[in-house]
Amino acid sequence: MKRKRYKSWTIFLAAFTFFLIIVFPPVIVVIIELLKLKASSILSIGLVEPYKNSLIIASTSSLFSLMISLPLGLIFGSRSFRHPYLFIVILLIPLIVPPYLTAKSWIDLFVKTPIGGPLFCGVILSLCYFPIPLYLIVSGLRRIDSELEESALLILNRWQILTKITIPLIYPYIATGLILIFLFSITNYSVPSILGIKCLITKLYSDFSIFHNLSKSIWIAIPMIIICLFLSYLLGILIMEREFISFDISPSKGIMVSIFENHKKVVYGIVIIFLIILFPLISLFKEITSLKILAITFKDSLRSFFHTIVLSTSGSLFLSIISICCGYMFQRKKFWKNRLLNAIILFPFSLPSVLLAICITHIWNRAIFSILYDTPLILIILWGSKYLPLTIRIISDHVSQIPVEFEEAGLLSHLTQFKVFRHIVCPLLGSGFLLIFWLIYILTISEVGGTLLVIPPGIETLSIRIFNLLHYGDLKVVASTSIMLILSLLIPISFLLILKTIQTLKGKDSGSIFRKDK
Amino acid sequence: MDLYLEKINKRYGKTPVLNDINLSLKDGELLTILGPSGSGKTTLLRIIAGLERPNKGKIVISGQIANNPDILIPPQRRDIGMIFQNLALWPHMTVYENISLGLRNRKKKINNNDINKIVFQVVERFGIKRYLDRYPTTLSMGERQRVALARALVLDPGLLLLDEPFSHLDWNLKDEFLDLIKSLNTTIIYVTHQVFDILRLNSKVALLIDGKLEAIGKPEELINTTSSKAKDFLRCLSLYKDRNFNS
Repeated sequence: MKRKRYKSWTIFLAAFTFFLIIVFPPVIVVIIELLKLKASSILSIGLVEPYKNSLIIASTSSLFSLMISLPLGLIFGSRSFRHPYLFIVILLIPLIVPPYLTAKSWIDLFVKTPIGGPLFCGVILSLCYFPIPLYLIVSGLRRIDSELEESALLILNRWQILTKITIPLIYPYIATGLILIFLFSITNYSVPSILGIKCLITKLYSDFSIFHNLSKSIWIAIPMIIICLFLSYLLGILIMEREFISFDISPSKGIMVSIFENHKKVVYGIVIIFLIILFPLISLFKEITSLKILAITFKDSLRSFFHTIVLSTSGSLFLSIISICCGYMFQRKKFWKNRLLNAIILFPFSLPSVLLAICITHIWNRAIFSILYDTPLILIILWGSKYLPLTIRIISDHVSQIPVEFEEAGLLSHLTQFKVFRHIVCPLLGSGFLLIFWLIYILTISEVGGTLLVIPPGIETLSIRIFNLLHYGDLKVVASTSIMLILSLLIPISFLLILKTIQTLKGKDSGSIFRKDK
Repeated sequence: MDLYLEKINKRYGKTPVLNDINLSLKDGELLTILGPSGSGKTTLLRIIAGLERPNKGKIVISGQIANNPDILIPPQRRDIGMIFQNLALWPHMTVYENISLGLRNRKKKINNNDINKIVFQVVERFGIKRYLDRYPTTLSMGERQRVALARALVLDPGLLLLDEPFSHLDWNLKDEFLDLIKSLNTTIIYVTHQVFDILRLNSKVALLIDGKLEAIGKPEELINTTSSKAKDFLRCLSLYKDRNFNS
């Protein structure tokens, strides 16, 4: 009997093995190099300025994005805002457009020269990442029982309810958003590079590109590794037992009290969307003065377009499947209950992709691994090492919403563990699968720093092409290629949205588990 | 199907949930397990179903050991049907798919025509034929209960476990379901905390309090119990009984 039970978990163990092989070797390299460390070596590198700049960038980005996302979240999360769908879809644009394109748009709009301090860089990054805390805040608000506010209405005014009841209830979501923004900003390579800011990531990248010295790279990154470890531990505590990312934007739930009147909400929403998202992009795309330029650029970039679509789609699909299997196993085996395990699993996600790429080069750049290192598979390993911990966590949250009795009823209906997973769990995880597929897809398409370090010769993604063009290319060509990039991002998203709509219409998505229809 | 439980013990961490439970049930017998909330009723059912493993003890189903320190027969091989408190109907499948999934995945393969025949027989019996293409979330509570019963019975289980499935039904509907349960020709364990159910079923009753089986017998025999806990509990129940019948 024991053998059969083991057999039914084979697929999960295989996925777990992939997870271990992809995610943890870079972390082990970091730990080994840390053990060899000499204190004098760190002091001699002179890292005060890069660190100061990195911290300014990450802090500015976190605070500024909170300033944008909190009021917007309170608007979209309130019950009186009936149809937030359009706004929510439009607010996906900053996440979809790669940060370096947003940076370029803003530079061309105001500065016209590729210079700007760390504060400017932080603001640009906040404009790219603010939808993350926004969705978290909306997600948190939609889970608040409106009776909590209704009971407070008897003794408090609207502002007091907001500050004393609503915001304290969603603080874990706000804090999670801030930590994620901090991590994304401190590890972002493309924007500081375009703005010419000497920060930790750019130093890490340039030092490794010149010297190929692993130990020195790890030394440079030590304080950042400590920050990342601390933040991943904090993140683990905050999101423990919490559904933290959700597509649940049904208008029936959500907070009741809002300090904004209805018309003010719409005006505020439109102003923010126009100023932050559409205006800079329109200014970039107005550079395309003729269709001929567009046609020529499309023809030149077709190969990159093809590489981008194939690599990101196959990578996302593979990593999503591993995420589904591992996320299910981690949730059902109660991995997330342990704070330390939480932090260990999330730690690789908090590390900069440039550092991961450096470690991956050290591990896989050997003759026996040439089948991996000299092919695009190395990109999937890099993306997996960075994003698998996050997507597994997201899937685990979706699994936690499926009552365990559904699976037990399956077992009692003569289904094996694998068939329960296939017939009951997987269909109910449909929306989670779409979410992580889409997330990995856009993150891999936009990723530049780590990809530049490990991409095999002869392969060029659109991101890399645009990133190179930004440094020495014509703005018209950059704008035209950017359209291709946005197209490549929109194709699968449109497909997924159609699928999601069909699922919702059929009432088949996992959200329907909790729907009270009758 | 005969069922025999010997010295079943279960603890969660350091908290004991079940203490030395001994129980035997003959083929076709109906047993009602009565007890206050948190007394271990659901845990006992889950252990019998194989969804949880006891820390100690032995379970014998139809003469075959299903559970002891060395052996664990998984739930799908125990020939047991169970109706959960929340019914656990799969929301992404239609009523037909919910009922037929178990038949389709049986070790002994059945062809589609036979599956349809069996499903139609069951749904006709429970009056849910017109809901076959509907999703469970679009049905009323009573209709969902019928679907859950049909799903459990379509596999013709030797033992049916019912974990307070009718607790949120109104009296009329509950009455109807209890009649249905009585008419089933299979071994049944029915868990409840309501005295109305035991009076209506008039079956053998096991009194489970704080993880211990305090008394077992016909409702009228329970009055003679010597356990003080059982006496206290029955006193509470008679109060409920009076209230229910007065109103």
